[in-house]
Amino acid sequence: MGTTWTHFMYPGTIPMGDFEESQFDPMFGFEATGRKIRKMEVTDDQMDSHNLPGERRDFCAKPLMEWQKCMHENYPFFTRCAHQYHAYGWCQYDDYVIRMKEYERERRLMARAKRVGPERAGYRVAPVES
Amino acid sequence: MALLRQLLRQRGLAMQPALLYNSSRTAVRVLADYMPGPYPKTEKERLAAAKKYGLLPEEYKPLPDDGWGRGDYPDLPMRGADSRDDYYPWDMPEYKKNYGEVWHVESEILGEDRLDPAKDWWYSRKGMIGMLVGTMTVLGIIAVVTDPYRLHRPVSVKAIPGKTPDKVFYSFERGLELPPLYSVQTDGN
Repeated sequence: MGTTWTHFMYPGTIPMGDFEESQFDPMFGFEATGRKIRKMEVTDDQMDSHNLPGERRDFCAKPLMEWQKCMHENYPFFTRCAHQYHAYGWCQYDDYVIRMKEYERERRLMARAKRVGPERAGYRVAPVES
Repeated sequence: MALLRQLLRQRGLAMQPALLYNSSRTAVRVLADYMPGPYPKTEKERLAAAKKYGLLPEEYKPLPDDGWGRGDYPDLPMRGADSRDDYYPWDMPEYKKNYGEVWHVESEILGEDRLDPAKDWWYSRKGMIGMLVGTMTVLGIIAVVTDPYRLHRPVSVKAIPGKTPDKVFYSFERGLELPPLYSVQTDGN
């Protein structure tokens, strides 16, 4: 499955990847079991104190901060921070797997929406402005 | 004095009388030798100027007397160092110049790193412009045609909490918790 090639040959069948937000309700299809909410393990204040840039304030901020702290404390013996380094790498890996799963869910829901029609497609409902 | 005499008597040293007292070997051409004189008016002055710059009388042509004070300096062809022979044993290989050779009046732009108006290019000027226009046209057509079909990774948007306010991110595990608002987490500093 190529991205550009599929957009060219079969337009409208695959989502635009990391350029567009999902158009479906995140809880659609999970009504029976529910979905676990990803929680941030560090606060904004901690990240501010750590001077963490905006693109690093993802769900792997905590292992990243631990790694950087270890590097700072063990300078210049960075091999002592191999554990923190790999923990950060695995965290990013898991995050990427979730992103891949989200993409695949979006793709299958798009195909389903084409099959069952827009009423049952499970599109995201825009919040009503009050 | 005895020491100097002893040094001069030894063979193989640099202080040989032939080197010390041979003024023709140590002759140096300095900048003053290249300073232009007044513009030559008579044939005799012309020949004298050609000899001063080490040129043959038929190849010596003074620069035009246009009031810029260049006097009798020769008007040499605009030929950069890039056109000169790479394998000739030049006295000054970095300039591709021989000792005593007269310098062009604009020699500072005729070095190997600068201009060479006499360069024999492999392609003609029209061919060069054609290659540029052709390459840019082909790339532009590719860019315009493929612009609606963007290249992206097959993943969803990167989850950065707090970037979009009040957005909740879910994993694919089971759970029935209620979404807490991310923006209220300020404790535990």
